[in-house]
Amino acid sequence: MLLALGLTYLSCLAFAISLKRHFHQLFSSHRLFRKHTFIFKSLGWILLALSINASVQLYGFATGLVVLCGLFSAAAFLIALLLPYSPRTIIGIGSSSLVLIFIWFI
Amino acid sequence: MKSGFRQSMSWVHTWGGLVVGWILFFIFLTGTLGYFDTEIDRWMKPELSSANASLTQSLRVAEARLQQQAPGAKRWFISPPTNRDNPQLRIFWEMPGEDGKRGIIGNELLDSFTGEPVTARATGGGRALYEMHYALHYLPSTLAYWIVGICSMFMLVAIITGVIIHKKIFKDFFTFRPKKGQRSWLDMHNLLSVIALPFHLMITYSGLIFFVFTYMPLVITSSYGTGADAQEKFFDELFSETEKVQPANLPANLSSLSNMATMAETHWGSNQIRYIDISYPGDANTRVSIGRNLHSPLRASPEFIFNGATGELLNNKAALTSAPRAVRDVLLGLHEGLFADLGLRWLYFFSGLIGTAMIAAGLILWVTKRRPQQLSKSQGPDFGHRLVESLNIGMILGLPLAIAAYFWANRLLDVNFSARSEWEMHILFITLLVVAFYPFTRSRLVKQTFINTIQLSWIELLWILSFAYGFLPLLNTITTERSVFKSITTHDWLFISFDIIFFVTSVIAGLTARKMQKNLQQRVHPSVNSSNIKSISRQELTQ
Repeated sequence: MLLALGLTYLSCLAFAISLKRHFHQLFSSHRLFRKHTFIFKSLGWILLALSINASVQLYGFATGLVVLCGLFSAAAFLIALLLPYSPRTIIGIGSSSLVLIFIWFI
Repeated sequence: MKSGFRQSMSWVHTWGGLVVGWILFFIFLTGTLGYFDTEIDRWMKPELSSANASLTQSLRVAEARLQQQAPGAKRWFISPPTNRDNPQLRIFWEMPGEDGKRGIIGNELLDSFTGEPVTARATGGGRALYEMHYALHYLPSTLAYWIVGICSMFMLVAIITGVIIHKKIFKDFFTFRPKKGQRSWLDMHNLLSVIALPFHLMITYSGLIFFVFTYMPLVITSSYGTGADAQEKFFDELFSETEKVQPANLPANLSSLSNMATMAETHWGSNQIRYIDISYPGDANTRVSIGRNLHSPLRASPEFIFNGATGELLNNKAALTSAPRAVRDVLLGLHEGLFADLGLRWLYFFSGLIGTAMIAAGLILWVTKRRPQQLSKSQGPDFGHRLVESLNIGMILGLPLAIAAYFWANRLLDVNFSARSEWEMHILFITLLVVAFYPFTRSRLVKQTFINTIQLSWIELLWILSFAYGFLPLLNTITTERSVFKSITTHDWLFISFDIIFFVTSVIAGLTARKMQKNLQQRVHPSVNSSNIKSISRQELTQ
């Protein structure tokens, strides 16, 4: 479940980065180009597909989708609340989930 | 009603949401706690030990006890302590009835090592909290179902209109802008609605399906005719589990239950038996059905059916028996979440809290939006506005406080007091009532501007809330034998989790109170900076 949560979180993060307002909250010094928006959006969808896959493998199709909805709510809530207060924490959690997923696959 | 599609939808959302908002808050919060009903039960009966014997031993003592309590019964039912819903060995029996009437029934909780019946303090437990979210406690059940149903219908309307009037669902998906007054409350309300939208829709819609035969009785009438008999026939056909066996009226010994259980366990894995259902024990025609734990929202278990006299396996019944019924059952199963393991259960709980907070944010948004205009009126805010402000406090703070009072009552009321579990509930509702009148009484006792009364009521009640939850772990340590220290040393995760949750609730309430206090002080004395705010006395503030 931790793997699925990590993937869902990263998917949410990618979606957030693809939005102009949140991009500036996260990386204040950089500019967001339209090309980047597209990349992050696609990345978000790919990660979402991966997290669906992860939770379906764990719980089966029906229950897996229920789990995914719950994970998505939790991840989106965390990101939305941290964005105005501590954008660095968001990146921190994101990197640690990346590491976690990396270790998982090894 | 305003012109324009979005405006009229917005009108429906605002006013439809307001009139049922408080009841919906009540339903959502108590229902959310229902996801941990068994755990709350266990916390509220601290005498019960959590250690359990093996399945074989449990079955042996259960059978012996049933033999002693209910020989010649029509049905025995054993729930072994193998799953979350049933942490304690439980037996149930039904004696044969006369003239088509139901016979005497009984049930007991047993010690799975010795088979002695265990007794714990009388309490409604988490079960009562959970039942409140559709039966509303004091009301007759049909009336309560109708009230809850109408409110749920409004909720469904509010969800749909909410999606329509939300202008930028995707662009504002993660948007929360704090410290901007009305804007922040709208952001929060939107955020909480959108991120758990599938949950909100599912829970509201399936909630309506639960009592569909109450709301639409004519559905049954169309095929079964009118009257109570027709209703009964319909439910008999709908809920009949297995084909009924007739007793042979020849005595025979019950074959070994643990052998049958072992067979089931070799197929399903250990700790997978949810129940053992024995019809006509002691008869030559006895049937033993062994059901598996729930693994999906389909509210039925696959079963092994044995000939109880010989121990021979007769039938391997799949969980799915009828597709149309499965559609309904999956919706209800999704609502109840009984199949959820611990991880998914927490997600359910969390989604429920999001729903509760969403309703609260909506109610607060309503008053925040109207406050400036209302305060500028020469004769003060309207009665309606004052009422909404007070009811918001009464429910949003009142209910959590009332639940805290329920927990306090559980620990403080005398264990031998005969009307114990009733009074736990009375105390819950008395607290709710007192808090609902708090702002009103306060304004009578201490004359102040309206807005100060409201703000100070929030702050004071938040402090009370913080203390009420903050001292619960201490109270538990003093009044029971399962103190904080003992829970930690014995790895009693259930009690540790409760202590943590109480503590976290207390801290959140405390921090919110402090923040509101600062804001209020800054409004009254804008020149003072935050570092020496504490030096301002309350007296000064209230003048």
